Amino acid sequence: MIVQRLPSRLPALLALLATAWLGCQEYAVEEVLYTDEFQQGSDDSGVDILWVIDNSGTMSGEQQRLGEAFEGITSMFEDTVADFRLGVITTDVDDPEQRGRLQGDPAVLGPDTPELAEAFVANAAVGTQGSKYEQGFEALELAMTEAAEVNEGFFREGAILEVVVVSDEDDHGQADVVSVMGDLTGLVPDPDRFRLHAIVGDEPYGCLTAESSAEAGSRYLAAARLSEGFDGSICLDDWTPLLEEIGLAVLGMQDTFVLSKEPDLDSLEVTVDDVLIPRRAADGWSYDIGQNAIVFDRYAVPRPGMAIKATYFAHRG
Amino acid sequence: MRRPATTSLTLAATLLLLGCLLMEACPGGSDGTFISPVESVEVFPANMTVTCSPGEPAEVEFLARVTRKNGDVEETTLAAWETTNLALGDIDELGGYVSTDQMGGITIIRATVLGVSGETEMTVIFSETQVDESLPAGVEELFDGEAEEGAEDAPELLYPLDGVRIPRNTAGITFMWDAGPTANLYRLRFRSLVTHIDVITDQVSWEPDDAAWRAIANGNAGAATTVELAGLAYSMDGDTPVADSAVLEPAEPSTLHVSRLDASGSIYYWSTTNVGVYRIVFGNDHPEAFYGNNNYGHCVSCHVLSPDGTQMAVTYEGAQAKLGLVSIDDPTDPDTTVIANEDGVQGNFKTFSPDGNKLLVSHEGKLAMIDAVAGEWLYDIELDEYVTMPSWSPQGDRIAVVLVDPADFNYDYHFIEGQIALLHVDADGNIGTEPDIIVPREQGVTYYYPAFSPDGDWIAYNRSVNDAQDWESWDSYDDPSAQVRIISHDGAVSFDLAAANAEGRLTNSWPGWAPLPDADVAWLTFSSKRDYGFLNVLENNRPQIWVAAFDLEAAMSGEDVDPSSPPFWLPYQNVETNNHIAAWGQQ
Repeated sequence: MIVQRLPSRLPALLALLATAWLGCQEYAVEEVLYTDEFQQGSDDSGVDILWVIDNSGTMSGEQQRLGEAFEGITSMFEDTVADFRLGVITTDVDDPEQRGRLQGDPAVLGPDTPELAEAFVANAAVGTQGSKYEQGFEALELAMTEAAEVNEGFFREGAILEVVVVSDEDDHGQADVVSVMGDLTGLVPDPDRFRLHAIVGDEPYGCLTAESSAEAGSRYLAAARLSEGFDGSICLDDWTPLLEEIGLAVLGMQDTFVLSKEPDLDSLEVTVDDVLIPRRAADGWSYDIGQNAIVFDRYAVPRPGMAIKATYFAHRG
Repeated sequence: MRRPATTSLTLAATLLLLGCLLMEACPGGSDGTFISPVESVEVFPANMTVTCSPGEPAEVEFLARVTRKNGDVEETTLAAWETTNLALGDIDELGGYVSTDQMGGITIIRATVLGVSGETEMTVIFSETQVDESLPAGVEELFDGEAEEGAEDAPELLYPLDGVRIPRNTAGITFMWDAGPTANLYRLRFRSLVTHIDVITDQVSWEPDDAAWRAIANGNAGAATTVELAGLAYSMDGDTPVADSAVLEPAEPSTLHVSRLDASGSIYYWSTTNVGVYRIVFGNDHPEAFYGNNNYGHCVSCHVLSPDGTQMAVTYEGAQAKLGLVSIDDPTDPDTTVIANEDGVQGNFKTFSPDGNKLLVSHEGKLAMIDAVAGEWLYDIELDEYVTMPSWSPQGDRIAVVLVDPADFNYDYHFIEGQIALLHVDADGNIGTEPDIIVPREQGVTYYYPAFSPDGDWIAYNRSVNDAQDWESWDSYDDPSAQVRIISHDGAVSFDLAAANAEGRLTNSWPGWAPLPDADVAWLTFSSKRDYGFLNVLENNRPQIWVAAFDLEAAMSGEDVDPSSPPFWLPYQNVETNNHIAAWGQQ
């Protein structure tokens, strides 16, 4: 796994010791000390990141926002040790020049690509002349079948495949999502190392901005849930945080570390390589009660290989 | 680290001496994964409906009711809060929701606590009453009086047309009504699940400002709003307005549909009055003279845009005369203007190849292929019948044309009993001369002006009939009986577009398409001599540009439906001029 959780034995030890201690005391111990240990990962087996971008008539603004956000996270790719590939296909399966074919020249971007941000932004600007019947799933399947020869050099044996769908319409395919994902899983180089992330319209009503609107991307969202991928709203003004999250994940890193217990927040301390990190929104970490996790600010995300420790008191039981 | 008072690190250190380890005793998974202690989360208040108004956003404090697996229940604001409708408002980290004060809408409020989520739906109604500043205070309350529904002397909404469908970003929609014989005060009421707007005025029209239109359009994008018009007679008793009649209401309100998607690009239309091509960037509030007498010294008539919207081909100084190619970026720049006429090439109707490199023109019943880059004639194409009005499919493999018996042919634009056919283009670009007829000739009927949709799935065309029993009134030119129709590219399905055409002799002519926005609606432009409220009426015999929605999903379901909607008048065109040939480009 790209990020390792190293379960500490200390909490369990303390809990059991406390249990033993109870036998000779008249009152209960309510909280014990836990330490969750993590290591920031990176994947050296390679990660192929395929962007499936809607190129229908309403996607001009969204493609621009994608490009702007990517420029904001380029340093992630420039700094990583991961051996990554970046490719772009469109949701148009009608145009013979699309149909799962990687777009742009060069179509396959990687660590050695000069001016990576500019190259990706150019490839991601797929235009707005594509089919109005967006079919991201079929395009993805075509990328690995009909267009496999054209796309040679992108999909690598042994590499993780991370797919990011960006669309303001839902997939127009008819087959149910479970079977679609089953079919796709059968095509990918490593079924256990395949995720789909969705930047689409929110369920259940879609979403709206001053300049654009999106219908709910329910099929893509279902696929993201099935593959344990991320999802985010295409109506966000700034996609940078969302791309950061996805970027970290696909590069084998993360900014969010789920704790093993519900912590006493006053007691929670976090260190990275034994350096105490302050709890603050900027340049530090915050606690996300929704995930029971510590979340590092974008500027404080531990580098690959760094050791993260979260120490806190928590209720037993 | 601060230590909770009920524990003791010293104690823990002491207990380390006992040294036993049973991971199963821990509440988390044995591998350290988090097992949530939360059974369920409910969000309160549930299913709220709140109201916002200009300057008064709706504010709601949400609570998460957390039920733990041990049976404990707590109500807390400590949760990860989300709202799905980002345009409607925002929620802070303690569940405090603040809506916009500009529009209504529906959102989902979701709280997640320790990995478990709960949610509820909230409706925000935008409520506003606008009263003309010139009216006396309290005049709006007169409409609280007794109502007479279906009153004969009730005011009547003239525009927009009942059932119209309008792109969300349309600016300049003016509501107009017939005052009726007695009323001198009016209430225009917009009602939907999320919109409560009343406009009180003594005028007979109302043009919403940007904020008012956004409240109507954004809040109801993809949905319908009812438009109710009521009137009454009132007078002043001193400083107090008093009603002199019941509230007079029409029997049925009108319905206004706002498309979920914006329309974009520019519409280029030809004005025969000011003689030139005018451009309206969709959503802008004025037309601009684009090409013609005003800025280039040519009397421009028929025009067509290249598929990428960068070039325009024009016929000028007569309908069957000179041919020009101009750049959209700068039509007056001689360096980007190619006048094919210098080589003697003439053309009336024309169509670009999908790549924009070729131009196929019709002239005197023949087709000619033009090099659109150099502006040079390449070759002529002649068929057994006269051929005119070509429209190249976006795929490049077909060209829709009109075939006319030479005996029924006067000019390229003036003939009777035309039929619609497809010419096939092979992979080498050769145009076949064996046409497939998709709308066959009928006695007493003329079919003309075919236009491929931008996706190549549909062909819009015109139909006129010999309803006045004279030659002059049932041809392909300015025929009052003209109606717009649509047929699928394979001829399998066709639609009369009753809602778009309406009844009567309205000269609905020369259809064109907007660049397709997406899968739900296509926008169809045509000229029509119909009433635009009270600003332009049929008796003026003045054509103007109208835009109708063509519901693509409905069209896919077959011929038993009318996929069209009543059209809207293209805002900001000159209401005093004769306007034709709306070419809708991407730029």
